[in-house]
Amino acid sequence: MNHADIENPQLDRQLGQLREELEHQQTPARVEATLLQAFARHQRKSWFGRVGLWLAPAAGLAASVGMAAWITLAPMTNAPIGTDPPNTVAIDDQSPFLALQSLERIAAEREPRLIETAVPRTMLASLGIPVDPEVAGESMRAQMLVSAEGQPLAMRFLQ
Amino acid sequence: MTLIDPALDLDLMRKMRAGDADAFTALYRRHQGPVYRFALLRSGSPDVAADVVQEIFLGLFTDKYPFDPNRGALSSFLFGVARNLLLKRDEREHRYVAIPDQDDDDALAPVDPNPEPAAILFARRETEAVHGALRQIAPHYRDVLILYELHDLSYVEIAAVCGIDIGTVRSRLSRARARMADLLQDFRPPNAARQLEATP
Repeated sequence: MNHADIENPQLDRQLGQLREELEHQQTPARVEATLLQAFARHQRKSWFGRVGLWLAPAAGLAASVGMAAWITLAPMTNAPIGTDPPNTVAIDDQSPFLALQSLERIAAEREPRLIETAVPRTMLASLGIPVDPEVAGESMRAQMLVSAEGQPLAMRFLQ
Repeated sequence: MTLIDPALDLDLMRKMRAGDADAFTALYRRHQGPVYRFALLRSGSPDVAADVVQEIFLGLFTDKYPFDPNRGALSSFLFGVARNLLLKRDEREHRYVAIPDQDDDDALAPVDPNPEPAAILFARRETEAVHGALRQIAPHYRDVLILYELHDLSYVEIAAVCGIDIGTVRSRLSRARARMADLLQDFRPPNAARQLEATP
């Protein structure tokens, strides 16, 4: 480094050595692993939060379909899943439900509710489904199975 | 000047906020090294430096530390957060008195009479001595010196990181270098010492 008022070649050399010796120092690998786990957890939480906001107005209307919906959906845990991607479950002729939790978790839910609402099409993108940019700003109808606490368990989009 | 491409950082930030884990990983790998080395030099402890890096990147995706691209490059922002975390740690552990409003010679003197021993291993004794001298300088001088000499930040970038004006960056750098030279003036590399002993 060149400092007109404080030139000191020896100090520059010493600082250069310090820099050289530090060059190989990197954050321990465990930090990256911890951060990636935390990032995944944060994304799941954020996604559920966004879904929760959209579902809030519909939740009140949904209580009446609770147990009936569960009876309708109960076969999903035994449904053949070989013909669909592993995280989808077909229960009728309409589009399959996307499991948002494990099938064991869904089957263990004692008081599930089925609710219908409108969600932004951009939500499809967060599930890995292609979205036509021309209609990305619009909303679409969706059915969602939620736990008694309001946690989304599975959802499907209706045309 | 730093060689990090700000446009790529912005693109990765946008993807990270949309939930792209690969973008987050790429961002982390681009910036963890310099931030870690800054925290390592500043604290003298690999554990503290690792904690600081973890805290910063956690805060980046949770928006605990919201990054505003209009206020500078991401690399400067990360150094700034690291510096604040380290200052808070010093404060919490009563390691240093508050930073003075005015720069003066008293402020340059070390305030911590018993600094923690450094836990970094260096190959050369001379480098150990340089690091030892660096640790004897008060933090607000040390920060400027580390960022300029070891991370190639410009005066403008350092001013943004430390929240001071460019004139203060210049004067702190000048004083820190002078102090380092004083502290190291008695150091003789082992070879030189042996040569002196052998001289009749």
